[in-house]
Amino acid sequence: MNDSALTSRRAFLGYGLATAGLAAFTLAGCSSTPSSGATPTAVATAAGKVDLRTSAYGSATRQAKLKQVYDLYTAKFGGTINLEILANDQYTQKLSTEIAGGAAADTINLFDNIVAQFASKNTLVDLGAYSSGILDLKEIEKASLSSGVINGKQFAVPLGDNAYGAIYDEGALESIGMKAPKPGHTWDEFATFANDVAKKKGDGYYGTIDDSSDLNGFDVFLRQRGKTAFKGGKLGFVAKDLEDWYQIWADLRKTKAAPPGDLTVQTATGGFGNSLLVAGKAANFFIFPNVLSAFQALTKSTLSVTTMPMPSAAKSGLYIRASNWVGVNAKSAHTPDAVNIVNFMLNDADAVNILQAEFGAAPNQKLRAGVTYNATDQKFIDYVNLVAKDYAHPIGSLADIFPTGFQQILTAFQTVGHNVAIGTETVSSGADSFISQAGGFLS
Amino acid sequence: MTGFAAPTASATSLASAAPSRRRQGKWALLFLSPWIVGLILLTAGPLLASLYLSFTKYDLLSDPVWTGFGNYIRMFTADPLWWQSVRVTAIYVVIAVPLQLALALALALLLNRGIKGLGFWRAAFYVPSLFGSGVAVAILWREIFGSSGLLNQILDLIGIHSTTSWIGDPTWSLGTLVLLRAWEFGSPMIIFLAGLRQIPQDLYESAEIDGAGPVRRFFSITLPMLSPILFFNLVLQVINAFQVFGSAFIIGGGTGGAGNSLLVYTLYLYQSAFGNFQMGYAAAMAWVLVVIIGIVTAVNFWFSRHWVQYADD
Repeated sequence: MNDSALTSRRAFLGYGLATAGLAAFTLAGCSSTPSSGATPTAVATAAGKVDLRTSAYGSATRQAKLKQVYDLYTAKFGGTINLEILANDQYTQKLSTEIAGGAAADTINLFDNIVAQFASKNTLVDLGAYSSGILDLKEIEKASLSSGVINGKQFAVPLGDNAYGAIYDEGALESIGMKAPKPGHTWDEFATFANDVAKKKGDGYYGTIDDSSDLNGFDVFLRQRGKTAFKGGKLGFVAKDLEDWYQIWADLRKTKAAPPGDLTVQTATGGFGNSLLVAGKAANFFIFPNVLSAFQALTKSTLSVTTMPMPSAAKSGLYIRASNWVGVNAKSAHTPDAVNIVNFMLNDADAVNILQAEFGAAPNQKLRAGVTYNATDQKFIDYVNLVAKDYAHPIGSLADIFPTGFQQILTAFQTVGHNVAIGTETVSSGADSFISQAGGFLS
Repeated sequence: MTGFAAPTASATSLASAAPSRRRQGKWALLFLSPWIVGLILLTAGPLLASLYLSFTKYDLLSDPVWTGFGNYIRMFTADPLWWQSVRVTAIYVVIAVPLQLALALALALLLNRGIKGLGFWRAAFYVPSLFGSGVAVAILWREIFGSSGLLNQILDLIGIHSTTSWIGDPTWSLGTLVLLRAWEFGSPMIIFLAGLRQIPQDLYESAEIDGAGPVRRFFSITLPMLSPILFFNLVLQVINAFQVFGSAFIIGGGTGGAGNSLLVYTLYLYQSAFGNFQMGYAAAMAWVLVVIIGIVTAVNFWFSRHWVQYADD
């Protein structure tokens, strides 16, 4: 036999060890230098003609609109804006890495649930310091603005008012002579509706998605009971509340009004395009419906928005709050210009016109009234106005709604919800399991 | 690698002893320097930093706080998700690697039978491995094993009506991941093929004359002669399999899939680091994985004495 490198024992052992060592290197070589929060320098005016970076998350529709807005900005103020946009589910990870590495963009779009976390670590500029100069907050809805105040500072400003709701497939419902439930419908009416749809459409079509593993939906359900998901950094509910929530969806699954667990798990990721609503297999989707046009872009069927089911209008559990926010990187080399972009997004009539309802109803009250919306966005605006008029209850600071440990809790809520839906845990064991896990993450 | 042996400081004082050799050493160092600088700055430095971080509480956004063995203690005593990730990864490695190697060996044997156009077939069978760990294939996997995916449509054709989502059902989801690993049989196959070509034909000829059938020839000649190669592939693929990430991330949607059935070790590590902002804990997890892989590899080497036959023994 040939004396090849691989078949002599010594050479071979050496090679094997080298490989193992390499694996160890690649695995453990993951770190970065610690960063410390910078304090903003309040220069009153934007210099213009600088190169800026902005980071955002969301759909291709949003990307196109943001690009238009930034083109408008650079035409006016000079310089360049480099937009870095990612899918929702990858955004936080990339952002936190960039911030840690000191390489984050100048302006940073933020989900409602990460604002408090980033704010408390001094990674964002206190925009309040600019509110008498570059940043004009006079016309911005006060209630929305105030929920972005954390530790007394305005670390982020709202990009658009929003209200939790349900998107319905009117086209599919029309084919069986039905309509989406009216705003303010009760849980009983909802169950009847979902069962009717499933019966009329036949096997493989569901009257509703299974919303049991959606923490936003559960929070609205809790608010209908005068509770909240979190209170003072602790859980604001007991196991019975979660059991009742799981039971609603378990009953709907049982009658095949809602999809089986494995299908819910499969469609829980992969973006809106992977949802049962877009696939034409379920009549609805529960979400903050500023994304209505993103959904509409994915289907030929006509979509509409309505409320979540509720016990009564007085106990709607609904509120008006921005779900998309923007802040300025504390380490930005061009803070005034970055603040200027934020101001432009909020207060420039053309920019607001381009954005339409992309992030929610424009927070600038004066401009909101002047925007001519397309038909889809108009439905969303009507919905937000309806909630504001008939259903909305006050809401606290983002820091109270999304306590430290929220990300882990969010993941656990999804996992346990899926377990119950699949049947590997029961309604009551699932509720207990979530509460004990969440307790650990919050402590 | 000889360049390493000559320390730079003493190189000039020893110049008279063996000038040509030392000059060579200097040149070697010079040419190696980009790599050495890279090793120190990009690999060794971060490596040591991560060891330090593993003893801290570090959320990426504020300074690390020293916590001693806190992260390690939590991992072993108070984190059911960590144990779940170890369990999932162990099952994955134990099933996927033998399956992958068996497939690779079977195809290598098939291709070694002097078929026409070997080069073409070798390349054709290697192609899946090039795509194998890619995001696109993981997405394709989602389509195949989805509720209305290709698999269920094929089952439907042969009269089995199934709407099971193979990736959404925790009973099957890890199985789809295992299949994806098995599908990446190309590189071990190529190595097997090279090994098979090194086995002297006269061994087979004399065995045949002695009346040994194909099965006997495989177990008495092929397998023993191939055992160093098999061992090499085994060590390599076990180490690789422990580090599975991309496919689990895509198929499970980055959250660990149904009932955390796809929560492989590195995925939980990633979640801890970038989802939960627990960099210190994640660094500790990485080091524990290094130790686990080290132990498994050592056991592998120890065990190999009993079944691997080297040509120079």
